[in-house]
Amino acid sequence: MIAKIKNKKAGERVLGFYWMIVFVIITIGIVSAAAIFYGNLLDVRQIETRILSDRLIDCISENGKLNTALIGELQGDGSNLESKCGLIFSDSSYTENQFYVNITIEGGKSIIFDKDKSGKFINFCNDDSKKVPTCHSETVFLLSGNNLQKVEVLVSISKISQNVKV
Amino acid sequence: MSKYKMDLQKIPKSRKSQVGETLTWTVATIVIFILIVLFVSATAFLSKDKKAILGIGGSVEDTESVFADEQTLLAILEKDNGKIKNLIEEGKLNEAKTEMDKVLADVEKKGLLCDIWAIPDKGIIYKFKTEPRISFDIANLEILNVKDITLQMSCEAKQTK
Repeated sequence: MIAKIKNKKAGERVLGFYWMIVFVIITIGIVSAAAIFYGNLLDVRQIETRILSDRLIDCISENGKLNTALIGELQGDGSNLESKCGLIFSDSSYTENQFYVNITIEGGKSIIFDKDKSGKFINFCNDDSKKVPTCHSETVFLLSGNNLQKVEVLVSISKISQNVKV
Repeated sequence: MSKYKMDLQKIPKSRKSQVGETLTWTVATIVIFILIVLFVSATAFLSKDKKAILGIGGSVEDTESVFADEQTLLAILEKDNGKIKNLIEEGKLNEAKTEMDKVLADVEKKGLLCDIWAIPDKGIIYKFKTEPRISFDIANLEILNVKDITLQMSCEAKQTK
């Protein structure tokens, strides 16, 4: 009888060892899965470009009409785009410019905001890889006088290190 | 009789159940390990292309924004001193359709495909368009109200070859 009890105790010890292994495996699995999922950066540049293009359209239009007075005030190099449209094209995390904006009004002027004048952003607009700036183009028709005028807004945002694991 | 069975017979009965249980747990541990490996690799695969999505039910990367559509719709309604808007307000939807189709044809020539629906509170739904085409994602529709008629519009950039 005593021998049987001893055997049972030894068996429980062996099973306890397996329980321990299973517990460790599950813990490592859950912790590493959570770390992998939340460790990867979330790329929000697509949304950021869309929001920015909407803000620019909102700035140059008024209930479907082209704000010709404001368009007249905007500089071709986009130097006063931030102040006129209430936008901030700077990011304290970067020393270089991370934004590119091109507003083209059909048969009218173009406003190109490219602080570094490098033109490097638009080179990547047809590139699907992640470690390049993200582009978004928007077309809107606005009323100028009695004509529907086509306005194209192209926005490109770099911010690679904040959105993609390098 | 196999060697394994003979060996088992030598083992006392109280220990046989322990061997069985240990075997079960060994297999269970291996199965759990494999499942965890699959779980971690699936997580790694899913998190690889983690991307924030705007809109309902999926990516809307290639479609025009709802705000841009709203501005275009307002411009169309206000054209010719609000001719189309007035026709819709007067309930002359057939005439509005003729005018709207003309404007949409112009817009299409300049590279933007748009569909507009006029939905009265009662009665049939009018769809303004220049040619049959694939319907747009319902999540990307802009809605405006003119009197008791709801206007919905959706646009996308024409694909250039």
